Amino acid sequence: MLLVVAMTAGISIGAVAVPVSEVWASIIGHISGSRTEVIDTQDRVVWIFRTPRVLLAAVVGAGLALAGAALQATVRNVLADPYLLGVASGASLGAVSVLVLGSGAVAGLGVSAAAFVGALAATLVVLALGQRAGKFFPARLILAGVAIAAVLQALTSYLQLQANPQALGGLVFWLLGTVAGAEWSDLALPAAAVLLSSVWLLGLGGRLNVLLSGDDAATSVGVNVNRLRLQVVVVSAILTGTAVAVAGGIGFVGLMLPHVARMLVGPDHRRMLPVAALLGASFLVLVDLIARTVEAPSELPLGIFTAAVGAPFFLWLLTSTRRVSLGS
Amino acid sequence: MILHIADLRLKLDGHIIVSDANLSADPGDVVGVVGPNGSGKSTLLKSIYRALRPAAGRVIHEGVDLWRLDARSSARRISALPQEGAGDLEFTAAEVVLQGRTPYKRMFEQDGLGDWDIAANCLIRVGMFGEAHRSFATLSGGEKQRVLLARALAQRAPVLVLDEPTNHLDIAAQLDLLELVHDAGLTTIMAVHDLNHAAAHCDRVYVMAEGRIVAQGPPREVLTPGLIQDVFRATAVTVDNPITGLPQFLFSPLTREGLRPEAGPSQGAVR
Repeated sequence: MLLVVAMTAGISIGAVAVPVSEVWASIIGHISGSRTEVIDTQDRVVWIFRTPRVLLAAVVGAGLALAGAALQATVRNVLADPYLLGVASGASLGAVSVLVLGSGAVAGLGVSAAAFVGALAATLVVLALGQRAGKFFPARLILAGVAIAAVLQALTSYLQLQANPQALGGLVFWLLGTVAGAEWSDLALPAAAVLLSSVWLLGLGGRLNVLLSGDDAATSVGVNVNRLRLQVVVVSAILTGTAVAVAGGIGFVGLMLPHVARMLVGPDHRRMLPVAALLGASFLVLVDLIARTVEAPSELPLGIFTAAVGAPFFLWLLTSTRRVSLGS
Repeated sequence: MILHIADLRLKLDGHIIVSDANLSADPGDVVGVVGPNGSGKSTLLKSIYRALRPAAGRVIHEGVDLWRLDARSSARRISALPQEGAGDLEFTAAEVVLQGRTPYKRMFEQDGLGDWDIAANCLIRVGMFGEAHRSFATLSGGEKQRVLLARALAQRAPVLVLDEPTNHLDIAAQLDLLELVHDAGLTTIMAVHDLNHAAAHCDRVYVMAEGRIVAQGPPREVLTPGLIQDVFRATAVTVDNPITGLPQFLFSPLTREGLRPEAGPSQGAVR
């Protein structure tokens, strides 16, 4: 419900206001096939510009929230977020390399592809460092992630200083996240990745619940803890890598929305994960709406508003909640 | 013989913690594992509930090497109450017990009526049915242990492994829990710190020292003052509990020479 309202608002409001009825008329018309071509300006705005953009925001928000929720349980740490394992810094380094040095310097990859490759490469390094004798340890993973992120960030900062002033604006924009300019063709891959990963993570919900009791307890009820950790980390890295590749480094969503979901429906991952995904999607759609209306017609990066709008709301929720935990 | 540990060697971080361990349990037996801190009790138990893969040797349940099974199949044979505290789970007691059904669940399978039935039954058995909907975090230490025991029972596994289940519990809660374990009637392997508990509740005990099993047998025969002095570095005298008739140990520190003091005037009660 929330997501539908948020998405409708996101499509309806903007530089060209479109009435809600026309929004749905346009969308239903195009999906059912009765409109095969764009018929007027409003239709163009709805179907060509805003719908893919809003959908991309929803997909990215859902992906980040899911990845954050699953990783928090996996390393049993309330501070864990999708960028925990160096994913974001890897992606940033990849993207910034392309933006500054040109795609030729990075094996001809585009910005998104370089970001995705960077994200996965960083995750693999962190996984390699976070294990000992083939076993993953939460504290080790977290510390390896922090250290790798620091190294990659240093490299990214250095590259930023090498950038010419024109490139710098776009670079900062990318680092803070945006779904501006999203097209239908941008949507298929991230949507598929998020959909598959969500289904996978939802299937692991019961096991993640047990993991909150501790590794030994989870093992004793038949959970292969090491394999579960590896699965969650890899799926989360794919989710986050995809999100960062298409929308840049959007902070806060993956850290806070899982906690909001827990406050609303409790720690059971079979309930909490879908709620977190829906909240993440709705939240990012609304944030995108704010980011492009507050200083219209110019747009601002999403990262500014996920933090500026989200943090106060989260703090309000935090003070009105009895206790905060992962459920353990 | 339902459970059999053969020539087990266990390593942690490259160090050998347990070596040449052999242990066996008959159906329905309560087998105690006793020994001083660091003697390898917990490590030995971990190899049974799959938290630590043996460096050598086998853990065999009804002819099947547990380490050749996957985690789920193994958890249908072995349930456990590990030593690590479950902390403050936000789940209700009933939800915690339902987690014991995990080994029977496929990836998307929800808890069915049968699972709730088993969970309710296990809560009744540990006397926690009335608290089923309370948050686990709000329970007392003794109640938490009983709920965790119910979770293990919900696994419907024929073997139960407990790692010092009475730690941090008050006397009444300790006795309650041991009574419940006994009444469960499962083949039980239990690490016990308190030798009096071992004597009262175990059919057989295995004594561990420095990673090896140094003695085994019925507690009355094994837990002699001589063994307690050698293994636990404490002086013990044994008296019969006037109410239960079970052997009861009275402890005092070793004297400087490491010798047992001669029994005093109460010699008549001392065996």
